Amino acid sequence: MSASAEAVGRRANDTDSEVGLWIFLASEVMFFGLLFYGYTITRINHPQAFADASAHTDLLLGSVNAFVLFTSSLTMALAARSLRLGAQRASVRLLAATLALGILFLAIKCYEYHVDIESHLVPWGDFAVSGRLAGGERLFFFMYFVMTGAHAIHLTVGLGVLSVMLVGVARGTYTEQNSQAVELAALYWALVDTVWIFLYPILYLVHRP
Amino acid sequence: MSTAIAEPAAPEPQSNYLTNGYSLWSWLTTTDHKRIAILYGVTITAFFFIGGAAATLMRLELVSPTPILMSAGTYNKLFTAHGVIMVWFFLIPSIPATLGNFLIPLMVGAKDVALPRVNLLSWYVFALGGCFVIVTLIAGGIDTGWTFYTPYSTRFSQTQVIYGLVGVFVTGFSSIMTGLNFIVTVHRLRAPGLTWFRLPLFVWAIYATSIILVLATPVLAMTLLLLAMQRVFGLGIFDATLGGDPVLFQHMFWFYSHPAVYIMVLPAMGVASEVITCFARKPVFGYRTMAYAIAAIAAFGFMVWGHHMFVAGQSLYASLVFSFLSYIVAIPSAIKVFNWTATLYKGSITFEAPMLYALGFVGLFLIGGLTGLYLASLGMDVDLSRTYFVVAHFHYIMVGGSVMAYFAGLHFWWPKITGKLYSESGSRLAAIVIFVGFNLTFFPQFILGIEGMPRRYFEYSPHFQFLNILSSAGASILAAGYVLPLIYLTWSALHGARAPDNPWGAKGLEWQTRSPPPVENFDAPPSIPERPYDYDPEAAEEARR
Amino acid sequence: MTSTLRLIGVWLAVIALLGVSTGSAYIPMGRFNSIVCVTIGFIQALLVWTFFMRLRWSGLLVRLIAVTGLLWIVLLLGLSLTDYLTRHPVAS
Repeated sequence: MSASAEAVGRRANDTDSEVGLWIFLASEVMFFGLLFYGYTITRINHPQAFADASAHTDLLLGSVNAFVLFTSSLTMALAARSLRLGAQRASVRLLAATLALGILFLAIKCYEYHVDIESHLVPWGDFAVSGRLAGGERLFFFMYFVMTGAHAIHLTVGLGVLSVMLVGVARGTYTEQNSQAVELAALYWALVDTVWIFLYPILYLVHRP
Repeated sequence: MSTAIAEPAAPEPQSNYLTNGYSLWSWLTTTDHKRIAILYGVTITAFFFIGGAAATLMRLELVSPTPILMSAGTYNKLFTAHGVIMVWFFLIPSIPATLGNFLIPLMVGAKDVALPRVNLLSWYVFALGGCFVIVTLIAGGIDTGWTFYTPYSTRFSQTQVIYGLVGVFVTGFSSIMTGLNFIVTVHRLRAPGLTWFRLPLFVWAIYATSIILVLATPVLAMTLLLLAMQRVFGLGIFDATLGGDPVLFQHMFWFYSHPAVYIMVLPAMGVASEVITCFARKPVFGYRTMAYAIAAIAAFGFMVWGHHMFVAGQSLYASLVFSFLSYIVAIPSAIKVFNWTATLYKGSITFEAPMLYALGFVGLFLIGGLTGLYLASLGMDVDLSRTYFVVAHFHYIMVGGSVMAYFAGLHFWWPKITGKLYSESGSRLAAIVIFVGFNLTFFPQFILGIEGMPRRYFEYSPHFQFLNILSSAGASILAAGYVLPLIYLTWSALHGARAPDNPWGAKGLEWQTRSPPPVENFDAPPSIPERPYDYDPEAAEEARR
Repeated sequence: MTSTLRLIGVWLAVIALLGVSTGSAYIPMGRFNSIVCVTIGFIQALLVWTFFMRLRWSGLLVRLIAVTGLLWIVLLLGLSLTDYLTRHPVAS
């Protein structure tokens, strides 16, 4: 590793805006954390129903989406890094890749919602499950839609931010010396990624017979 | 004094933040923390009087044990409007967003907060949330109580619950932005040499408050969102018919709303520390202990929420834990009261209006805090919960504590904020009228509670009438007391005499600049004192002779 | 460059852990299934926060802020469990 790259890598990221953004991320953690909390308590009250309901989710789509989003997190981190090192064109390409992966995630998610609706898994409609555990399974799918929905909204906001960054880097508004906005966007994007890291096991992997 | 100096040159009209543009547009687009503070100040004053009007109507109705003015439904809407408006649109933004916004950059020797545009955005978001609440009121109001307990709020209430939830939800983001801004400001913008233990306790208090705002408010936002979804879609995790848990809503709600009490009280403690040291002319007793107590209250404040749920169906074991933790949080609170008292001891005390309000704060907070111990005790709470004892207790904390301290701060820094002096006799009179009116209003409610009058009831047994009349009489005195400052402070802002830069001889950095401060806050870099509150009571005593 | 390779290495680790997590769900371990896959989630999150979010190069303040949110959620859940783990079951 060259000495200059090392120096860039070691820059402590604690400017005013970065501290501010991290505080915002902490509040986002609380925001999603409350949902995870609600999920956990409800699952404690309905362990069997949650296991059964989780088996109805589409594991393939969920896993592919996890792969897509984790990869977008890499391209985003690389995009910020490229810009820091002055590789503007690489940064533009990586941002475009991140944007594309984000859109792919949303497309797959929409298709998955479509499948869920077709399979009568929407808890406030004509629900597929009846019997003793139906109530608990409805609660599982309520949380499923709320949590993935909140995640999708954050992702959509992220896509808007990324578009602005893409245009900004392509036009030279954000440069090697002025890379902060892209760095902040990368932090936010990684947080959205982190949320899926936890949503994936608790929604898709509770019980796989 | 030399007689050679003929007469002081007429003070040149210096530009300050108030003269920097007079148009409404210049105010609505400002990023100056001092102007944003005033925007907040005007907004919350309006909400204070709306919320106060609701309370006045309730007290009028309660003069009689039978209905005289309104229906039971209207009464429910009034106490809900009073609670929602006073909590989220007056008390929570009161000291942090007005005095805090104005003073934090001055006290740390900065030009502005760290993120000025976010600061302005927070006011707009607050105003938007406020609009929703006004719309709620016009559309008929809400009757759930400010706590929005499910299942009533989701399944049964026929009122505009969704509008109200949206209003509170939106306002939450303004709290988060304000808190975030203060945290970054205190960490990053302190003047060189101004170390943590040279900061005024007011800054400590606002800093701790900001941490609570950032960590607790998102929880409230998400909780209200879940509640709204349950109301709209007809099911949710609080829905007992599906095996959901209504008590879970209370856990979530109070995880925000108990720390919210400290959002209201910690800044009040900060104000009291500033005012009491200044008018006792003594350094605050146990500065570090005071700072640590603030941090401890903020931290422990997050661990006691379950004491709101002793009679809500919570497990007895949980209640034991929460009861114990609630006693713990009394310790740092008591430390603060002892230290204020010790600060007064052998001080050179004068009784200007801010000091009267601050002393009122200490006394009323003490009563509120001690009655809190009754309610933290598991056995007592089963009896007293849902009675007027609780109402009296939290009004002693929130009105006797926070509002008194807000007035103390407002009077203390008014000359700095406006550059004008106010009527000293009028303000002292108002302080005394408010103190008397407050006690007459709420002390009888302790007795009513012990005698078993339930809270939130519209009709009551006739033998409670005497104390209710006392309380209502007190409320009318209190209302008069609150109108007085509105009159003399408005008069002062328009016609008051020019205030000197440091009318109280106080020590904080904010007093080193002009009154009102210039746009950039300081003409020259302020000098950082070796220690905060460097007052000398003996010199003050000498000077007074 | 090494730091690019490092980021790619982190990504490979996260993806590999994803595979382990998914695979573990098919091994019947009772309640340990969830413990395993959530623990893997924490490891993945740690990797993402350390390298992609650059906490490794951050100052103390930023690191403190980063863990605070998590600590507070633990506080919320932990104290709530005093209620939910000690309730008497209601006969259905």
